[in-house]
Amino acid sequence: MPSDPEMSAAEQDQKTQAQLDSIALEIKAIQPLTSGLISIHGLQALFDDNTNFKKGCTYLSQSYASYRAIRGDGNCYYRAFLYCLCEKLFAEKGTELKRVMDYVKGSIDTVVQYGYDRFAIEMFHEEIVDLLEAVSSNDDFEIIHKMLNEENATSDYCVWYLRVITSAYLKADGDRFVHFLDDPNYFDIPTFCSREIDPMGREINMVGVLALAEAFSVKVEIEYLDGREMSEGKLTKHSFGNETSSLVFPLLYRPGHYDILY
Amino acid sequence: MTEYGKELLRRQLAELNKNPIDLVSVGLKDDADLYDWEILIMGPDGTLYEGGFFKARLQFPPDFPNMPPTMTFESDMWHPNVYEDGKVCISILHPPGEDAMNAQESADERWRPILGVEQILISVISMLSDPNDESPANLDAAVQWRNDRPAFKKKVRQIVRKSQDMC
Repeated sequence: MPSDPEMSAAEQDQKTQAQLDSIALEIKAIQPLTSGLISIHGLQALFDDNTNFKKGCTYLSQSYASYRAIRGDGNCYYRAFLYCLCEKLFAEKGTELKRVMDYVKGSIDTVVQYGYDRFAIEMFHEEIVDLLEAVSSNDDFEIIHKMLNEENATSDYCVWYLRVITSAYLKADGDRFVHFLDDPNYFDIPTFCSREIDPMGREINMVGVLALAEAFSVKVEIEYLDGREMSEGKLTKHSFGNETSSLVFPLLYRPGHYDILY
Repeated sequence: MTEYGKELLRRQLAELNKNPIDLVSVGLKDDADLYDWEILIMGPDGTLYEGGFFKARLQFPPDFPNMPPTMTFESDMWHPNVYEDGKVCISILHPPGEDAMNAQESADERWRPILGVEQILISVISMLSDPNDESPANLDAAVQWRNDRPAFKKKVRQIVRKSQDMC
């Protein structure tokens, strides 16, 4: 935005804020929280020819059929994780569903040890337990898909709770995770959590990805479509969490954003 | 999803009545409205506000807990972080996210849904013990706090006395 010398700093700030708000509203209006499946070829059109991004799309179209777009509101990683969790557990409906259910049920006793007030978060906890129960009791995943697309409801509440789980997991092993902080602004885990993990709308980074995957003992596999030079025609791919887990969440990273791959 | 916010408030009110925090009692202005709380705050010992009984109101927006409540003193208040109309201006009561308005205030100090009402009340008590004159709401009070502490104390003693008379 060009700055206008006639405008005071406060007016300028207000204008900037109004513009940010309107962008956020626009995103909300046109992007569902979690879309239906989109052909992987659709990604190609988003990038210019002869770039590493375009080449990366060619690789993706050989390995995957489609992707699910997640709303770009800074919560996309947590939302993608939540959706994958439901979808994979719905398909499994066995020992893993029971294991994850037991873990989630018991998690509130763990997180309150790290400074969260039980009465402030227990409803968010109940929400994710109810969601997993719906996964267990429904025969039609469309019902779960709808629940996860309702505005200001299940998906947001569960994202709050996943953020709390991530923070608590990081704080529980602060001595180890402090070495993974790749942001020069932070020197300790509690400050990092309260500024980057707890607030809604803050994008996750590597250490958060690692913590959440480990907390749930699942395997998160990320293809990095980040414009870097490819090796052997493939994108860089990293996996996090429990390498041997049968619950595998394949995600696509683009700078500042995550979607789900199929 | 207003029902969700209502249920959250109902639980937190019940909990704060069962296990009150020091120096604060909470209730509803009108029993039918969970979004409008009446608060009584006792000035913390060892601070200028010691001995005072300050009435305040905590009003929650329809989209609570996405957005924070506002807190307004109904008793007279003289404090750098309280506007002259009684509205409290501390970061935990500011909406989430980073904006251009206040560069000093980082996102961690602001409201986020996982904080409870209890955290707000604790922050208000701590505000009374420890005024922040970096980003004042009441400029006169802030200047006086910084430059003329005896006059500031005198003014606060007056409002403390007045609050005792009102009780």
